[in-house]
Amino acid sequence: MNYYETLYIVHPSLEAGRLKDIILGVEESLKKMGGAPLALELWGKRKLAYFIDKQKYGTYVLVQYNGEGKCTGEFAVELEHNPNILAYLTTCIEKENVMEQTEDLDAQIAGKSREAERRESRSPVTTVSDSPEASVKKSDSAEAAIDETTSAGDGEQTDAETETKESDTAEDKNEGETAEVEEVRADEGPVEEAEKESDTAEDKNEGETAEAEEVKADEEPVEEAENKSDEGKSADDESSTEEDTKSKQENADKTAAVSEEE
Amino acid sequence: MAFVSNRRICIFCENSEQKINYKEFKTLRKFITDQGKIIPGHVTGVCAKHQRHLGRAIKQSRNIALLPYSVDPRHF
Repeated sequence: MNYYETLYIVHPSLEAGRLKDIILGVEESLKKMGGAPLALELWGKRKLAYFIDKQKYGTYVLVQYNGEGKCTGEFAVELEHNPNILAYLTTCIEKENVMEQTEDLDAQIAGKSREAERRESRSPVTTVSDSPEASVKKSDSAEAAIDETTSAGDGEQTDAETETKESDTAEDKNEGETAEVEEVRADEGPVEEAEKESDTAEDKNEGETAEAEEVKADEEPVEEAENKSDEGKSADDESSTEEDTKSKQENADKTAAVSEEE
Repeated sequence: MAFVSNRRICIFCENSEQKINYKEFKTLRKFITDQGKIIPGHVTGVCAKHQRHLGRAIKQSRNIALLPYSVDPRHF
């Protein structure tokens, strides 16, 4: 009786429910071959170092079991004929290296799906800011180019891999920038920013309306008389006109007196 | 003049807790070039025994797509 571990890659398009079915199916086939599963660890969806069956990502699952030597060969044939499994690797391990399974399969799948949701929820924030948006578009275009190259043929795989590296670096940059942006936003607070913006807008509006009222007051004193605030101004204007007339009369009297003296 | 040894000590011999395993691809990444080639032991200072283990682990990691077989140097 030996101890073995098999690391296999499940197709990335399989979600929580179907992924569980596939993993349980593999375990069942392992039991049929005479192996006894000891531990199962779900690594989650990871990026592959190179394309396998035109897939860029894959879900890694590690299963440790014990059994006779012939069970590994039959298990390998079973994995080979499963279309949902992209690649697998079986190695012999020592008894001390067998893991203790802390979480069951459901909890692990739920945890990994939660992590994926968090990543997805973070990604839309990048589109809000201006500078990362352009870089995100670049990375998207790079990914589109990769898809095109992969669909064109396997001969261009090396180019595609290098392009993926470029896109990865771009994504990493984006993540760094977005993280900085998020930190800055967290410090300032989006609500405060919105309030500030609204306050400044209101101030501007108020300033503009005040200026407009003053201009109207200068141009049309008759219309301003209707408003209470403008009534005071109009009254001032009337008093100023009366003073002007009085001063004119005084000047006229003075000139008349001077002319009489002469 | 006293003899000064420039011989580097193998990091895996020095630190016996550090195991060579194909699953620890982040550690293995230190022992391959940007192109994906395995760096020889006389460059990294790894002893012959651990270099054999490293080579096996890197090849296993490549098989399961944790490490690349080759990377095009034109796109560095």
